This record gives sequence, C-alpha cells and structure tokens, in this order.
Amino acid sequence: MRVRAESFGAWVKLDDATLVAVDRSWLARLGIDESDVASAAARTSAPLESHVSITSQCAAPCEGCYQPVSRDGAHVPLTTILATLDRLAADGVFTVALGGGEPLAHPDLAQIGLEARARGLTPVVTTSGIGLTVERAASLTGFQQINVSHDGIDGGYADVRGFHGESIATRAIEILTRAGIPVGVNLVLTRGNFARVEATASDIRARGVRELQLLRYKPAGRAATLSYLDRRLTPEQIATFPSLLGRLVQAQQPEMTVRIDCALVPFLASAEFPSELLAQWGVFGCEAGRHLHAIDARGDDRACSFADRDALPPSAFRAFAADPPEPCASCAIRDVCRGGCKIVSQFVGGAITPDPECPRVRAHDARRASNAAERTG
Amino acid sequence: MTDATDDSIDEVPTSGELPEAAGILSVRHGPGANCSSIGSAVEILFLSATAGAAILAAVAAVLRASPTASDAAPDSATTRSAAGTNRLPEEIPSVDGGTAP
Repeated sequence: MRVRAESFGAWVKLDDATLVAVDRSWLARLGIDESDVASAAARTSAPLESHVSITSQCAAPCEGCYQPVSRDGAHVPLTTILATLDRLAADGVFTVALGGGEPLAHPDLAQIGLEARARGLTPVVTTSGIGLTVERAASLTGFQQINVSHDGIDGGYADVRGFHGESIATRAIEILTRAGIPVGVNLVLTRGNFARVEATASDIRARGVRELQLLRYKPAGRAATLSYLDRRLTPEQIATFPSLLGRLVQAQQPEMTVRIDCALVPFLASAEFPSELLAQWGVFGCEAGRHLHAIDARGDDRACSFADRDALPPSAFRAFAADPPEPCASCAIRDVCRGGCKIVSQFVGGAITPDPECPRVRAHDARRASNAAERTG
Repeated sequence: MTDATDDSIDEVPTSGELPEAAGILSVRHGPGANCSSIGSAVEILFLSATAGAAILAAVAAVLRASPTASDAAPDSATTRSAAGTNRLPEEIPSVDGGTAP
C-alpha cells in the first residue's frame, strides 16, 4: 500500500492498484502527520498517472497514430528512462503507462517494468503485439497489466488502423494470457467499427482478456486530417453510447471489466448518471494537467499524450476546467467531465471550447443557431 | 517536479450513510493499461446502491486492516509505503439494475 498526502486528506493505492481517496479523518490511521497535509496544501499535487513514451520506433502503419513514429525511430535510452522513473516516484505518481511507438521494440522493456516496480510505481504497457514472442512475454511478468490494441473483429481492426492486424492482436492476447499476464484490450471507437463492439467484446473475453478499454478516436498526429470528420462517431452513435455501455457491462461482467477513456465521459452527459456517483467511483474526464501527465520520446512534459507542448500546455487545461463557459458551466457532470476532450475542440474549432461532439454542447449550439436565425430572419 | 497539476478533489462527495466507510471520498478501480488517455472502470455505475455500499465497506475494511505508515519507512516527503497484502476482493457484485441509464 502507498499513501500520498493531499490537501483534502490522502490518496491510497492498494496492492491491486485500486486508488482510494480519503479525507483527513483517516490520516492518523494511515500514519500521515498533519504537517504532511499542510505541506501538500502548500504545493501543487503530482499526477496520479503518467504516460511515458519510451521509443519512436514502430512498424505498424496505423492511419490514426497520434505520435510521430517510424520503422527506424529511436529508442529513449535506458538511463534516461530510469531517471524519469526516479522523478515520477519521488513526486508520488502511482501508475506509469509505457507507450511508444511500439514499446516491444525497446530492448529494455522488461527491465523498465521491473525498475518501475522497484520504485513503488505500478507499471503497465500498451502494445500492438508486433514482435511479441513466447520468450519475450515470459520476461514481461513485472507489468501489472498489458493492453493489446485490437479495434474489432470482422474488419473492425482494419477499419480503424488501415491494415489487417487482427491476427497479430489475437496472437499477442493468446501469448500474454498463457504467460499469466493480465491482458486488456484497447478498442478505438470509430463510425466504422461501432456496430462490432459487442461482438468484439465477447470474442476477446473468450480469449481470456480481463478488461476492455474503449477509447475515443482523436484528431492528433496522423489522424489530424479532414478524414477525422468522417471517422468520428456520428451523433446518433454517441446518443446510444450509454446504453451500449450498459449492455457491455451486463454481458461481459464479471469475467471482463469495461473501462472508458477520459474523452468518452462527455458522452455520458445525457445518461443522467449523478455527478456524485461518477466522482465517488473515480470516473475521470479530461484530467490533462491534473491527475494525468505525459512525457514524450524527446523527454518533454505534456498535459496528455495528445497535447502539443506549446499550443496546449497544462495551464490551458486547468484554466478551462476552473471556469468553463456554457453549456459546461451549468452541466451536472462538469466537475467530472471537465469540458470534454480539448484535442477535439482544438482541431474542430481551433480553440479550447466545450467539446463540440458532446450531445449537450451540440444541443446548446443548435439552440443558439436557431435563436440567431430567428433574430436575423 | 513532474509537471505540476492542481490538486483538489475537495468536491468529491463523502460515502453518505455507511458509517464504516465515512471519509472515503472516491474509489477508482484498477490501474488500466492505456498509454494514451486515462481510463475509468464503469461497471460500478450500473450497480445497485446496495452493491455499491458493499464495495465501500470492503474498501474500508481493507484500509482499516492495513499496516499503518508508522510500520514502514517513508519513501518520499509525502508518500508512505506499508508492507502486507491489501487488495479488494476479485469479485465485483452482479449487475442488478441500480442506476443504469
């Protein structure tokens, strides 16, 4: 168990990496002095989770890749990565998620996982599965969980990534599960694969996958083109997203859990989940610059993996969340959602605004347009 | 220092009517393993209040049973570690309606 003093009390990480936030009434039991809390209140808090790119090398030609990677990209030196792990551990970060490029391309991946563990961090990694062998998998048991990118059966994968990698993903799932490593699947939702999500969930659960992580398609890197507008979910699909989640949970639990990423939280705005419920169960919306932090392959800090260092600094995310305009200002889940995905709003509208694909924002914008038309008509 | 963030989950509600879980502000299950965006488990949103209370009670029991920080050396100014096993039960209660949309 690790405990981190905060101004409100503390964050506690249990052995299964569950995070629990407690108030000050727990401090004495957890062995935290009031002076630690005073110290925490006087400083800015560290992120809970950090996403670290360890290589710019990747052989997969994914059409929507958000990173500047290539087949001959460079690896971050092990010494640099160890210094990063030292810094994250000293700051009190709990989870370090390794990405790339393709992390498996890095020759020191197994050691990085063990070194992170030794520093009290929870190491996890995301992979395409390219290059994974039985022998390599056996060296990766230091990781708490490994997620394999798999965007859908029956062509769903190719629809998102532009190449037929489904068999690579399913082979990686098989190898990792046989090695006894907890395996999750990252599934990026697009207009084209949305209808296959439930069938894909059943398929991967049967293969031993323990967790399905749904991700919103984001206009960054190679995906920051006009094609994004044709690949993003339709308003009709977004409207059905909460009910899709309910069906997935009903069908797949308890063998496989379901997670959604921060950028999908705005799509819950119409589902009437009480904000208190979302907060109590640790649902995170846009946590860029707060609970989330990223380090790219050049070693630069970023608000999140998708955020341009200069155009979208952490302060921009925090300023928007602190004082959002309507309709976020009056939204019931504002404190959890934090305004939706700024990568999307920056791409679609050229500025940090309320998420333009949120159903509530779309309805608000439609009313404003209608009112403006009435005034001019 | 890692690129600083503001803190404050002060707005997170308390655990309400469950005395043994009083003061537990938020429970965030598992680490996830995505390296590009932060993920959150959603099963619990579809559970009944009874099942949710059971999970809170389990979390409280785990916390109360854990060795306190005085049993272990600090590994940074504001972070403490403690030995021993402390994890939630593997089983998540069955979905039985609750707040499903």
